[in-house]
Amino acid sequence: MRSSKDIEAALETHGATVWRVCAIHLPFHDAQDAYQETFVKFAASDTPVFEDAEHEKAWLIRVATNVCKDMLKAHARKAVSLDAAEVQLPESGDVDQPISRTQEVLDAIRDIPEPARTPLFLSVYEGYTSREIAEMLDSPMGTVDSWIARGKKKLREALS
Amino acid sequence: MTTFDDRMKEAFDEMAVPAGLNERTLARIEEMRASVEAQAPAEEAAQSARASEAQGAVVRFEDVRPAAPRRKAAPRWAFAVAACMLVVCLGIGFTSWWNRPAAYISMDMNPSIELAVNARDVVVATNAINEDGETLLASASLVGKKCDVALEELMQSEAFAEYAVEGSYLELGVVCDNEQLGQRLMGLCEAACATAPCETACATASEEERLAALDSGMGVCKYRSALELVESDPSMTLEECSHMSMREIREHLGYDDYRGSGHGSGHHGQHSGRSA
Repeated sequence: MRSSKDIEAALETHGATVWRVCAIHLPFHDAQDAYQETFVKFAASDTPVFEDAEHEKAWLIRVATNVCKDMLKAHARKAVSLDAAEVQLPESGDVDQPISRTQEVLDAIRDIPEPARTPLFLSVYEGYTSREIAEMLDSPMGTVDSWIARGKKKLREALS
Repeated sequence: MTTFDDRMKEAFDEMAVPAGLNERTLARIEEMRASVEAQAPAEEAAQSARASEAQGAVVRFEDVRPAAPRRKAAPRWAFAVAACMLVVCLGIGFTSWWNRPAAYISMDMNPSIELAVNARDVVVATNAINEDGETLLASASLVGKKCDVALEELMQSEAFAEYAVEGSYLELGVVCDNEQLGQRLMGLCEAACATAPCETACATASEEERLAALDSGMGVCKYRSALELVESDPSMTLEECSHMSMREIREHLGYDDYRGSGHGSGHHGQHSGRSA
């Protein structure tokens, strides 16, 4: 297992990014579970050995995406409607999630079909190129470009 | 920067990790660490106990012969009935012995299939592990054929030729408790692989691995490679691997032996289960 120091450093450095990846896929409470699960996987294995912070971040993004996909599939198998839990009002006292603007964007992103969400987020917010996203998610670059283009179009329509 | 991009960035900028989530995550990880560390001494103690038991074990025999009972002479018709029943039982017994798999040969490329083989090297059943496997098995009738004939027929089928192109990777796995039969089947697999137009390998595996592989929707060789990949890269999942070909998995693992190196064949995993 990785050392506590490494884990704390990863949470500090990449926690916000991982949280955003989880939040664009899952309702609030499930996103928290996915967040924990991602860092548990990070902690549990000493490999890979990361070349630098960017490598570590890319790995965490990929793991978070996979964790979210697995949870979405599990939800689908149980036929639990995510719509029922969609309104992600934070619990009282938790003021870290401003609702109106963020929720509007989150709702719009979650309406986008699943494979496109992470590439869209990585392109628009994190500033990764299509090539970098394709390598990170192990997808063809053409597919990534297509997801990003369609995703942006849908978001514009939703937010206009 | 457009207004749309600004709006997206502002929205995401406001998304912070919920209060207390990092602390809860760390606490969960430390609990896991404590659990792993607590189990380690217990496992060592258990291994040590097992080693001591093995050294001190004594095998005892008891040979008790009951006294032979005195019998009355039976009527002749009873012998005839008994003889008929014996023949029927032998027949049923023979059929069930003949059809009982003594070994399994799995083939992973994409497609993935499995042949059940009896003690006389005859294929008694086939199993398609994935959809491409169904296509492959539909192209050849293998049940009832000797294993070498079945493998040859399979590898010469048109369906196989569509998958076994240069650059693809085929691995045959033999699962068998009987060493002699296992070695014989390995020989047959290696001979069959020698004629394949793609990179090949043969390996042995345990029944436990075979069952775990089937549960994951893979043949045993693909399952092993998938485990290796998931271990080296936790961002991959077994389910993802089950949809990949052997070549794709090996590519991810960094093997480049498939790149146009011709008809070379590898032979590994002589003892059941690769070393960890």
